[in-house]
Amino acid sequence: MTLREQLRAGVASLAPLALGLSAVVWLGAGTALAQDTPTASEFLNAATDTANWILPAKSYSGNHYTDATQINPGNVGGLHLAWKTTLDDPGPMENSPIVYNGTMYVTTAHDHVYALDAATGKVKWGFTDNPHVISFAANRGIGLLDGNVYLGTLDGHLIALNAETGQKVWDKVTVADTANSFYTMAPVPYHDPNSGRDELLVGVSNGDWGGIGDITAYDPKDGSVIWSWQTIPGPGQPGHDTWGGDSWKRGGASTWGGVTIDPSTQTIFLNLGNPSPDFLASARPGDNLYSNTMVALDISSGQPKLKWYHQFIPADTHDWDPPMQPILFTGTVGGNSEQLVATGDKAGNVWMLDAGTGKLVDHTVVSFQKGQDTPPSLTGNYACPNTIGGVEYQGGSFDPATNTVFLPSQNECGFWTSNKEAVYIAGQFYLGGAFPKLVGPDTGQMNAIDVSSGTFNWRHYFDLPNYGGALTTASGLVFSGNLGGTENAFNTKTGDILWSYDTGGYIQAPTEAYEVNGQEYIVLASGAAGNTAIPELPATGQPSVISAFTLK
Amino acid sequence: MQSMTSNFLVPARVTGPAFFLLVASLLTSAVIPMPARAAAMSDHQTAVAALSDLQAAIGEIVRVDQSYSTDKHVYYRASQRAINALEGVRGPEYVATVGTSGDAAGAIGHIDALLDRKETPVWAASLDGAEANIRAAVAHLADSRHAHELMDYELSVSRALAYLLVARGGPTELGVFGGMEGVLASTVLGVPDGATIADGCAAPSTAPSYGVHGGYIAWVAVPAGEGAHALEESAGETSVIVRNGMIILPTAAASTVAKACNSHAAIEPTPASPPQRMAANALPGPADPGAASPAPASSSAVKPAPANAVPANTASAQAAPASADGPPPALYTKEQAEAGAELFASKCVACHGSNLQGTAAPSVAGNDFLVNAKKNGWTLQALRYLVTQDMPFNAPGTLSASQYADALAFLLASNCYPAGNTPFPTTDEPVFANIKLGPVPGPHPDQNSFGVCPNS
Repeated sequence: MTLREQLRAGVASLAPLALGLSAVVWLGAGTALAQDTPTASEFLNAATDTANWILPAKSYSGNHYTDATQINPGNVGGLHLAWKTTLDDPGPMENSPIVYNGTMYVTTAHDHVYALDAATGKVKWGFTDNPHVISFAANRGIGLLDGNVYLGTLDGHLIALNAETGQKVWDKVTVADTANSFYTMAPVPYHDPNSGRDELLVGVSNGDWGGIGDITAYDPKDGSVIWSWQTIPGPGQPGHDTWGGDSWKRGGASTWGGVTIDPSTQTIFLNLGNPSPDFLASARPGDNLYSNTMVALDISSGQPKLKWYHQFIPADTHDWDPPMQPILFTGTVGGNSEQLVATGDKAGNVWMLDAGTGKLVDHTVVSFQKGQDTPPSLTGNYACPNTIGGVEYQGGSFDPATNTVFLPSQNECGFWTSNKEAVYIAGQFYLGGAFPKLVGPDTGQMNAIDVSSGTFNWRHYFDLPNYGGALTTASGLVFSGNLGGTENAFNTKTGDILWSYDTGGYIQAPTEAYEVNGQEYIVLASGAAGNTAIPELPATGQPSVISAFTLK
Repeated sequence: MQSMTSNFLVPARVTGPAFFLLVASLLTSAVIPMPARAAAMSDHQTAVAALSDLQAAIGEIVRVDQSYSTDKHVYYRASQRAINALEGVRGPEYVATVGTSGDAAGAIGHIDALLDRKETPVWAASLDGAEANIRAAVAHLADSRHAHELMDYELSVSRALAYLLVARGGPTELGVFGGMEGVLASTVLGVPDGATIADGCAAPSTAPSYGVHGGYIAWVAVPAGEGAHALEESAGETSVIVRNGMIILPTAAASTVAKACNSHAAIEPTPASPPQRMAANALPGPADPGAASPAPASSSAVKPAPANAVPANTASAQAAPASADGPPPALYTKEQAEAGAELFASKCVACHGSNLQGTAAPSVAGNDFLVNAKKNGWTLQALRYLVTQDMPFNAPGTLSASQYADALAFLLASNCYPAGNTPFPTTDEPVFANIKLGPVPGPHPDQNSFGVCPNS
């Protein structure tokens, strides 16, 4: 038997087995399915469910906002540690825990998944993967759907685990090129109302390694592709002429920031990453669509169609992409209620767009900016922010009570150099230069931006960067973690810090709220600094920890 | 490897001054004692006798080329004596009157004796190739006996010499398993009678001994200690490892054996290779100048490997051949690696981890790194480029040139590349583009569970 025959026979003999397995899950799950994982209607109503946190940013809107009111400005001073669980996988902790019916699913940097008792932190089961790391070890969470936990890995696999047991259900390589493409974002469950089919929406990380971004809907049953949309227009498509020569083939524009969905119009909003090679625009003459762009895709027909796009920084030379999940909300501008979509970028801007057309409504500068019109040179030059400055990936929130967008930002500067040419080495950075050398102090801010004016209601200045995003509660609190390890609660109206807790690790994960048995908890992850390491902080490894807080 | 091969494969280019340079370089190895033809010779003895005959023939040609005679018969006689050593008394071109510096069987007789068996040992393909090249050389030598001008003679003889060099082969020239020297260096044919044979998949436990697996020699161990410890017969070893009181000499076959050991597979011998025999028969005659080129020194049984590593005592990057398949070049000094270890502990460990397996960043040594280096075709040049260009992260370019060299030395050491006497350079070397990173052949008993070699 030749190798080819062996392979063929192997596939053939596997197929009936896989079918049998899925049939068993289907029949056996029946009633259990609804208890293990959320239903389509629960996903649609996730924003108002104070007990569970079933999508990375609470709901499809990307707004880290909870209706929970037990913890409020009057009692938040009494918030104390409910439990703390240390996980055996050193590395940066960037995940959004998913909480459903008293079970919390968390991930660590090397694609470990743990199911915890949300009331005690006790580990119910663990799954360890430890794949090859191309560059940055990070996992931002799981998707919970159809009885399974779904995980995207650092070596380009989608993996389905049984949500009850952690046992692997299937495992498939779903990236086009494992040398330069991988996953860090949480797969996003979605129920297509037209086809009646469940989908997992996943974007690929490959922008600094010479790949091309895409957003793909996978079948949760087996990882097969339902549809896929490539972020760089190919030959013959509108926008293709924004790339000189063949540069589009390694143009980046990855999709790592999360997926915001408006189910009522079946529109998804995506922030697309920087063009590559990152620091050498001469290697890719043109505006490089749809890099550094927010796109709105109509998915009502089963195949995504571009509704509008808004490019924030054309022909970027500083890796200044908009890295966060867009926040979709209804705010008040000029006395009128408008549907808006907001995002920040790593260049230190906050952009507010009309959600229906993509037209710019307002622009607020939130970080110190310098040298932004000068590309890096062979001998080097200064520009601010650097690639870990500006607005980073953990997003923010909108508070309807104060008509305010909350999100953190950083003041960090860099010394940048480019090369004469960009060299593609499979599995390595494709930069055409070097990531910047950090220059000067690295600090952070918490911003409260008035949606009606684009000006600050208040700002809080930290001595260290603040990567922890923003959780707003209906009771009038904003929670955010500082890189130095301190979790803070602010008064939404005044910006006063009402409560702080030192987690002992570095925070670059979002804060979330949930309830077990009617009791409200605040939870967040902390760990090592990773690529956000700065001279101000000791480089020693911090443990990977999940901390939960409560009042009683 | 490529350019070397083509130089040797195009006989017309090995003429004039190049020819004299070439033959001069062979003088030292040309004369070895001839074993007496015993009634029943072992395979090893037969193979050594074949090599002796081959070297005797080369010696004849070299010697006459060094002489200056106006008598053309001096040259004719040398060619005939070379033919005699190659063909033996049974050869059609054998002429008894001029005598021979070889033995009665001749190189071809010995090789035929070795190949005349039912089974096809791993060394059979190399012997097939050697014989084909010897027969081609004989054709050109026969032609040289009729040359009217010295230039014609030189042309024929230089072609013959090119074929003979391929037939002699050797692990440092034309491929790991090429020719008679290669086969003696890398296969069981090179194990002297009565020598201690051990499992080539394991590290040596006694010395002297030969580590053998699947017909190949992985290493040769000789006792360490004061004094000279020359091998019974030099087998073309390319590096020396002193470990556990033993000096270990990984052979040119070490990488093949390591792969077979890792995959728990036997090394499959190739079937006898009729195409090569046919090639020998079909070689163009002397009237077809320049058309013939030597048959491959090794068959397709084993992928022809690039020329092997530099000797352990030279770390010249220029001389370093470049492959993950051959024994690796020594490119740095131990002192550099030690300095690099300290640097790593202060500048790199936070992201790449104390065991180099990565925490926030990727692994930079051991199994995971080397497997991906091989899969992605990473060269030493690429590694150096990335380290000097992008590292340390958030502070690239902040180390001095010598610190970067130290860091790279530490990475090479951690990936089990051997240290040498010449420091890793502070600038890029063109040859780095040809050095492909990958698992380093041979046993590394000190490797930890991640496949990282400790650097102390």
